[in-house]
Amino acid sequence: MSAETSTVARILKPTILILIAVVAIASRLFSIIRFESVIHEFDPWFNYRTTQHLVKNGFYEFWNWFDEKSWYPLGRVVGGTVYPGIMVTSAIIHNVLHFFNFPVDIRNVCVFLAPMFSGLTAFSAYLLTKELKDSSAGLLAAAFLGVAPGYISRSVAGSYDNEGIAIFLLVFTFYLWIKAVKTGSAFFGLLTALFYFYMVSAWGGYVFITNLVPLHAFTLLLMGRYSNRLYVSYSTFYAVGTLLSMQIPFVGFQPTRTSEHMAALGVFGLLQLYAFAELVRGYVTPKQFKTLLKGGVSAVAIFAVVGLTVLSFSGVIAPFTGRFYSLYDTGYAKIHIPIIASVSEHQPTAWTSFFFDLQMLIFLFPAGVYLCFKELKDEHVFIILYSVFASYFAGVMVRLMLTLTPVVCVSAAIAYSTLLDTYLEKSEHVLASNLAGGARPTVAAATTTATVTDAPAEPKSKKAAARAAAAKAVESETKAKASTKESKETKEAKDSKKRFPIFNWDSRAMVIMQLTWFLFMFAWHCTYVTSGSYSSPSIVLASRQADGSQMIIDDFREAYYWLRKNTGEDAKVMSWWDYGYQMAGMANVTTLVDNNTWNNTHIATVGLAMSANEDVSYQVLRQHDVDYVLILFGGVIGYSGDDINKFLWMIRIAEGVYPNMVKESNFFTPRGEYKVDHEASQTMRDSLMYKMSYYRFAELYGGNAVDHVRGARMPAEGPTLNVLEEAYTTQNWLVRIYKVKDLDNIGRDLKDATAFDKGKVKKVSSLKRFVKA
Amino acid sequence: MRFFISRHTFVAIVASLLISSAVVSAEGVNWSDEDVPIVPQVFKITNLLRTLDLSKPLIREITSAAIQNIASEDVTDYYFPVDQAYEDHLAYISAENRKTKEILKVIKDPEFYDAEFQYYKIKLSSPLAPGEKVQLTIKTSLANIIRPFPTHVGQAERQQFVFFGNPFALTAYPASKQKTTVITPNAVLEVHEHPEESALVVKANQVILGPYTDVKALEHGIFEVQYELPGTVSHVRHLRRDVEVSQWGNNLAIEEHINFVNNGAQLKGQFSRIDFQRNPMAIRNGNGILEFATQIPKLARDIYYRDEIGNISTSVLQHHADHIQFNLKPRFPLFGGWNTTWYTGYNVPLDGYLRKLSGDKYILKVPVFAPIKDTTYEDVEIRIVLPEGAKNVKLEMPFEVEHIDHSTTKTYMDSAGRYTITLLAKNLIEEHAQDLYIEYEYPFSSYLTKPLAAATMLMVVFASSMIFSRLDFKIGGSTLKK
Repeated sequence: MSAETSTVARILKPTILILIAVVAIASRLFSIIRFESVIHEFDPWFNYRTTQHLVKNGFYEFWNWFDEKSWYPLGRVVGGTVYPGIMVTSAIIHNVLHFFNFPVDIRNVCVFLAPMFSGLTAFSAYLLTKELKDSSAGLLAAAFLGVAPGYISRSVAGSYDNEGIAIFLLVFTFYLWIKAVKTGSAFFGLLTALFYFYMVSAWGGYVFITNLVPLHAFTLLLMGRYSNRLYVSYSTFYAVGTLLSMQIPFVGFQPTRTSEHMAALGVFGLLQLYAFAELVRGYVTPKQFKTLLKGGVSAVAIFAVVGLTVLSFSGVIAPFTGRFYSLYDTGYAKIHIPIIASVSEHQPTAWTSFFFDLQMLIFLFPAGVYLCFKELKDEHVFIILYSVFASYFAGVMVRLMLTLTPVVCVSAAIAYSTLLDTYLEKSEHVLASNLAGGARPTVAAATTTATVTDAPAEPKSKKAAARAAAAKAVESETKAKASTKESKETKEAKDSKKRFPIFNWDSRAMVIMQLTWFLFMFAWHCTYVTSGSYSSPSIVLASRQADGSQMIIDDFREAYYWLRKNTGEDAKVMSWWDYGYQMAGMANVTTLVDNNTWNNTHIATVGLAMSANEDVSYQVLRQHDVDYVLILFGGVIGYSGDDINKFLWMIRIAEGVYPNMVKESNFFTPRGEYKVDHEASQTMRDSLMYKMSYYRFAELYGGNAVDHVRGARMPAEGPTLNVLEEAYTTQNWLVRIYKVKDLDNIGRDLKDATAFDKGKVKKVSSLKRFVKA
Repeated sequence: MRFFISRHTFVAIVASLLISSAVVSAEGVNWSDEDVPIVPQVFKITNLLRTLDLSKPLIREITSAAIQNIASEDVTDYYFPVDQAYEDHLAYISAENRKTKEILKVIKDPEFYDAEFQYYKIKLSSPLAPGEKVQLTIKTSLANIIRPFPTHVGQAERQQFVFFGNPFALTAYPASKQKTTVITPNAVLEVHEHPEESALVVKANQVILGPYTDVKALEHGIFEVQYELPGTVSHVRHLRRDVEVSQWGNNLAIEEHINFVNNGAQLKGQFSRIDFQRNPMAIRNGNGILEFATQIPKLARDIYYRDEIGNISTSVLQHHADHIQFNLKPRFPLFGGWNTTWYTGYNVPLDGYLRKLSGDKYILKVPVFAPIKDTTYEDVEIRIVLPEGAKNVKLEMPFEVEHIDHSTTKTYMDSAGRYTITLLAKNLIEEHAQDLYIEYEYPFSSYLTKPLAAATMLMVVFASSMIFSRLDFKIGGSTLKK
């Protein structure tokens, strides 16, 4: 590792890191270049809206914000139900910039936040991997994580979501934790806690840290690697981190009351007991100690089991939430909580997406984990645990691919770097000099790290082993350069047994070229995936015109802006919950339900209004003061994510709460098909959603309308609407807005009134009533 | 009738002529109470021709008066009364000598006004000797005084408007003869006049009121004309125009924030996309605004068109020989009563707008604003940001504005802030799109302020990082170095 110390390396490393950061940021800007600087998708719009509120009204106003514009008529306590990390981060950046007279718009701060943080993530991946292997592996890890599609998917410019900063915090917290365990420094333990706090404030995924770090500590304990370093770092981390995390209102007392946090508490207790036992051991004879230990362990075990059971059953400790059960059983949500299952990112991952998101890293990943097993120091145990659990979760939920990506990048970098070390080492030179000296064939090949030890293999007492490992770890860490010479003798002896040098330049060249080719392919794949799949803002659609020029379909913003400018200040707009955040953010109207999905009943009520017939719906609409109803209809341009395709979920969710009023089976044809054309069931045709979607649709093509999404030929006579009137339909019919009619002026049924206006006076029920009276 | 107008009861008048005449007779006392002009009676109007042009939403009134000095001494000031009720609608007033085409100065007189009328003083180019005659042409433009009737139209229907006005030309002096011609864009639909002094003459798209003889000063009645107005009624409620001068970058950045409303007849019922798509030709005759045609300088670059939620993707740029045609298409068609907001901007090289006078002195010439065709602007705020370090600023406006404010703005890399002039104006129309001049001093040393500021900032960053890296935060010495 002479390169480590040379001045060239000193300049090269920061330069490479900066370049990696630049590449990481640049590859996330596709959407800006192709479209514009705009907030993407759904949740980011909420984050953006709250950030605007924070910047405009200050922190206290934000903390106490009661948002009466969402979940009408319930409202939402925003301060207590958000992870404020990302908003506060943007607001601080915004205010600092403004303090220095850089009038950067808050929108641009929000749009570019995730790419900026991805640069930092790459840097933390470097630090983490450096702790595991060396800085060249670190640089590789940084480069991998910088462009890995699995991470880019949630951090392109405009994707202003919690994950954007949370992945940086996750990796950096893990780095600090490893550093803390390695050094046993309270300072690093404290830093871990502080960044853990930041992570808690930023993303619900902090639970991953809360469980992985204790698991690591517990595993080390089981492996007999208890040390004062572990004790100091874990105790500092847990005590400070938990207290800090409780400062976030949304988390509150959860760390002491929910099952998800119990592992951390348990390990904390265990460590205290273990430390106590170690203390006692120093003062009593081994025999006495054994008795004490047996008694103590059984007492504590019984106490803990009984205590936990009692507390769980009495409800002091909340059981696992549904979302966690669905991590265990992927079918759970579909049966019990359709609202979670209805979100596509909560679906189990298809195996192809592992390759899609990670490309060659997925092959290198197991190799890296294997190499970690070979080293198996404290930090490698952590990576092994991390990779096992993250792999499981990534397999269960598409979204959690995100937590897997960093560890894949780190292990892949270790594997790749080891390969390079093996095949790039100037062994011929070493070989020649050794042969000249007539000594045994010493080769430094592959042993580029000074940290290769096999201390745990030696059978010693637990304590001694731990101490030895610790001492060695500390030594090797700090005296990496100095120790190379000193330990050369012993290491050479070991290495000569284990490794075989690769002499031939051709075999080396073949492998190196192949590896380089892989890198090229990886970079190409990442760019391709990023530009093709992850850079669409989804509020603006692009299509190609006949002449190949780009055509922008901007219907969403057309509708939202129309609502924003041309409806009353307090207009209440009902839509399916998917569009709640966008409507609040872009249209600035009051919504009934949104992506927060905290109140299943309310969502089910909206589902009822959409799926019931006009009479029932009208009652629901009037009860909720709804002025407008907004739906998505993709039938004209073939946009498949429209409301008719989501309709089954609305029905299912509504059925869960109103089983008497909505029945899923009634919406299918007798043969059990989901149809919208002339074969559609009567319930389907009567439902408000169907009517709103296809209202006057047939007229568009003179009675020969074809729904391009479902490929269905629609009946020539479209549905009639009595309780709603069409208020606005966008250029491509993608968004349709209906106005809820007021009660009739002269007390007629709205159905009769509509029929009368159309000149079809049939048997008028209200007239009959009038006659009777 | 003045009684009503002065109380801004136009809406009540809109109700119907019948009602108004009834009230008038009830309030007979008020009617007979004649207005007496408060200006010195030094002129006699021998002949007066007035033309009311209703072919655009903005009403243009051209009064040609032959006046004679009846005083015993030379007179230079001719007073032109404007009803106080029109004060808010009067967008533009100008006067010229009809023969020589010489532009005369018009001032809103600070002395002569009462509850009913505001007098505008027109300064004759040379004093008029006793008994002499001169012919004047006075042009006024009135914004937002026509009302749609019926108030609601369908999305492909033509809209109709009603104009209420004075059949007499309002003068501060008695007129021996006067006549008013009303020009409407299409056939006149309906006309009423009160008091019914003379028979109306209605020709295809003209109504001729008068001629009246021996009309008293400040005589007025009412007439109403209903007509069909093709095209749309565009109105900007608020315009904020930012002009930023950067001498370093040789750049003039212009940005306009527009709050727009279609002041035409309201849309009947709701908007139907299918009717809109099926009959595009009919829609063109309706009162929906589909596009705004604007012109921007030929050398403009970085042109953008956005609103509160992002880029508006539907704009078209066409490069012409002397300008760029920039057609803005709003996100949605704007029917009567519908609103929208947007902002557009561009950069243009400063060369064409700035000239060096002498030494450190510069003069900047920029248009006050760039109007959209046939659009009225209610509140206009213009901010001109001069480069940092500009001083001794002098502003020359082509017309009077409500308020001028001097302040400083801080933007990218500023330390002291930039000299900023804010102008507030009301009721602007295309005629106001003239150039304003700003003269200022910009010493050469100001060119260096910015690089120095940047260098200092970087220096601070590096110095603090140097100090920081030399600090040791470890507690109780380093355990690692043992």
